[in-house]
Amino acid sequence: MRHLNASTPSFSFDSGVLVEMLLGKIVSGPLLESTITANTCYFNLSEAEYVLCRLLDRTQARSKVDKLVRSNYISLTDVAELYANAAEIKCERSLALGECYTIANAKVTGSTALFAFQEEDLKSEMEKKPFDVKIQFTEILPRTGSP
Amino acid sequence: MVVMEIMYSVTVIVSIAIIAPMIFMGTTTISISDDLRKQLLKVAAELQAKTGEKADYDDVVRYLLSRVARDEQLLKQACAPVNVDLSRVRTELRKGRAEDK
Repeated sequence: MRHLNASTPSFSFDSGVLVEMLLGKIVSGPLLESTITANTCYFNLSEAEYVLCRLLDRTQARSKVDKLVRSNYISLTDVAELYANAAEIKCERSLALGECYTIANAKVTGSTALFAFQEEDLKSEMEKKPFDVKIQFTEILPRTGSP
Repeated sequence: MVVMEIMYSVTVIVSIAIIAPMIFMGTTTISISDDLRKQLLKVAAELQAKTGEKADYDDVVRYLLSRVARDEQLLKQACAPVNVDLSRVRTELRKGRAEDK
């Protein structure tokens, strides 16, 4: 949902952010306290789940993603609303499709695209031509002390 | 900027035009203050701008209820810490995305 409450920062979570949050690397406090709102899409969720599956196992990955979705703390944008935008970004930029969906989601929802870390391809594309959405990295969110 | 404002105003007007008749089409009647009705219309306009589909009061109330029905325990369980090195997490995502290219 676009800015229902304009004072609350709204983010489009990339798959990397979802994985790090689901592993407890980034604290979920800002979501619980509603100091930020977050959205993602099924493409990014799918990416997060297969990465978790490779890191943990199928059951744990499924359980974590399912609980996140059922908690209703993250809004899910319908992929049908995003696919054309994501395709346009992918056509013009040398980025992974997952990154394109995150940026498309930020554009459609009027939020800030949030990435876990600055990949070379993203950095290079940002330098080449700025995106028409705001992009931030998870340094803005508190981290836990775990490795 | 001006164009955006005009587009937003048009969206709001269209939303109001679409939502107004819905008052008489529901299966039950509830009484709400005029102020609350105006706030619901604003949310309807936001929903419509996002989805591109008309939003009625039913959609608005369902949307707002879905926001209320958040389960804190589920989020905490989903985000329970797991001892995996952060560099492994990034390597796996990087590897997965490279496979897609």
